[in-house]
Amino acid sequence: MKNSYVSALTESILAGDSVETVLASLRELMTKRGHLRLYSQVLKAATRVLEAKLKSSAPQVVMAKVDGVAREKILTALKLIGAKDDSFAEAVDPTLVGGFTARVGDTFYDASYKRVLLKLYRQVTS
Amino acid sequence: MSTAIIERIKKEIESLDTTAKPEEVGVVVSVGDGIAEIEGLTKAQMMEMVSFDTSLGATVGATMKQSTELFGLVLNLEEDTVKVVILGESNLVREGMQVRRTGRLLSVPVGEDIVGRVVNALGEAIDGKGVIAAKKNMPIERVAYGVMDRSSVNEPIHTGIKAIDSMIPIGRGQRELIIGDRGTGKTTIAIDTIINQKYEPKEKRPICIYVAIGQKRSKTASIMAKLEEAGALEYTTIVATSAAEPSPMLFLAPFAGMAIGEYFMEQGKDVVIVLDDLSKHAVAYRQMSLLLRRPPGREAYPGDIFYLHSRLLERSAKLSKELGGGSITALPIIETQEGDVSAYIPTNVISITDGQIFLEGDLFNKGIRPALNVGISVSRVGSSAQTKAMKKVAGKIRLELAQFRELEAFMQFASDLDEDTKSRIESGRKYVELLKQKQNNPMPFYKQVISIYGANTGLFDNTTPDKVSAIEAAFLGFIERDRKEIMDTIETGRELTDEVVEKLNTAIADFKEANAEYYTAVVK
Repeated sequence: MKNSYVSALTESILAGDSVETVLASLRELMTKRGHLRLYSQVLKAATRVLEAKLKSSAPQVVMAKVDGVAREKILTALKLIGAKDDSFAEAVDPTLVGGFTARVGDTFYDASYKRVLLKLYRQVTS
Repeated sequence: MSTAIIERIKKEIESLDTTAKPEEVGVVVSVGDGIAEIEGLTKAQMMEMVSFDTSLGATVGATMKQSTELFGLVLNLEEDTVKVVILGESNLVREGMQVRRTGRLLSVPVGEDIVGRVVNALGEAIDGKGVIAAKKNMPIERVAYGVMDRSSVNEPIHTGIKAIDSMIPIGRGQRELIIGDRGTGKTTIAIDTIINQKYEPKEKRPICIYVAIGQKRSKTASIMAKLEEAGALEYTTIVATSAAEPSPMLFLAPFAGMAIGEYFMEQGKDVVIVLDDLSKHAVAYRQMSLLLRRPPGREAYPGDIFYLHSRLLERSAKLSKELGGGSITALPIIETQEGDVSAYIPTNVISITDGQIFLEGDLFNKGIRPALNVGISVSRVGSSAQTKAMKKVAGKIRLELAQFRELEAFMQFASDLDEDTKSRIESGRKYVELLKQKQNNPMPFYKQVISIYGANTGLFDNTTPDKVSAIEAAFLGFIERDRKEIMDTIETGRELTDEVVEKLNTAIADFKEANAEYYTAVVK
């Protein structure tokens, strides 16, 4: 039941309906059916689904420092993991030491120095 | 830092594959009770290992401090998410954490070096003797060998326990259940069986695997010490999971043990695997299934509890000659409550196995140890594997005990019984005494044959049941000392030829003549 509400809500929002209107209608419907206690769970799940959809459409790249990696390298990696265009969101994570990580939807590309260093450490200590 | 370490690191750097590859990832959406729900991982497979990215946002140094990589095992594939059991410290897993697919089904590292070691359910050494050099990774779950790949069970596995080897013989490749209440000697029978393998010739000696499922650590430690003391650890591997470990580890332990066994079986070797015990395994699986929100069935066990045990025990097999002729003999253990063998899990496992050894608390308390109830214990395939020598002597013991059990109820009216009934009861009591054995004192099969043959041919005539044990020990000592060739012939030939029978008859007569003091008190 919860899943049906979630899919109805996300489909309506993705179709371009006003979020306020959709939520008000949903609340009214759930109250009528006596399912209001599921409301918060439905919202949480719908947020997750929408976030996932947004993530899959927007490639994300994390680097150890700003402009730390050549743009060509990043674009090649993004192409490899299924990015449709050259635009991507950038973030900085100094714990990566060097290199970058890229993510498009559920596909991840880890070209950071941190991964290599950890791999080396585990290989040496095993 | 020594140059050796530097050289090692240099070598590792040279062989290090630094290329990055696209990986499928998911995100933890909820975590609790050792179970994580992960969104994404749409291509994950059942029983696949996934790796939790505990390094996200942490420095390289901080990540290095974590003992090992944290893995999970995919056990539920749902519409939008997968549910994973965490194989390690579940408190390190957080909501929002990234999880990567490894593409590997859960497997354990195996190799010859694993023999003599104590490992956990993931095959990692826990005995402090260093890392085990693995030759291969064996999948924990795999389909059992088919009918055409197997041959019939035709070689015996000797437990060293007279009552079992004579009346409930076990063959290599058989699955024989050991069932009984708490504290009736189930583990003792299994351990004695392992210890007894030292009497087997080295080339025929099976590799033994003892799987402790949710046992107290002290019990596992004492079993290890017993095996070491008896010189049995050198051909034994212990897969140990304690009651304090999370239920997924207990669930995996027998599968890991079986995977180790299969490695040796595929090399043409024989393996004995003790699963101690499957009742705790069922409880661990129930706990895990309930946490995974699988629907509960009878006694809250999940609906596939029978399938769980059948697919585990079906992997015990005797392979055909073309596949090397190796075998896995499984000795699963089930703990009953108040002797109730008709409970859910006991009946399941009874129907899966090829026979059961039933131990009774009442017999144990009467001092009959092993407390075997020979009436309801059975071996369905083992008789064809029994040695000719044992087959020849065991027929009478079964008959004598069956008659004794029928007449046992009349024992309290002893004075009113006729002479024939009295002598049958007396003979039955002597056989019961003969079958008693001390803990961790298994007897090689050739000695068993001599003892039982003696009992069948009048060695204990004209004596009382309380002297049976002493006479048996003295007689075996006499044979070992003065007529060693009889033992050697039975051990190598594995049958009782006319010549051996003649020699044994002479030996019995000579022994009785030389030890008249045992035969003075005659009870009629």
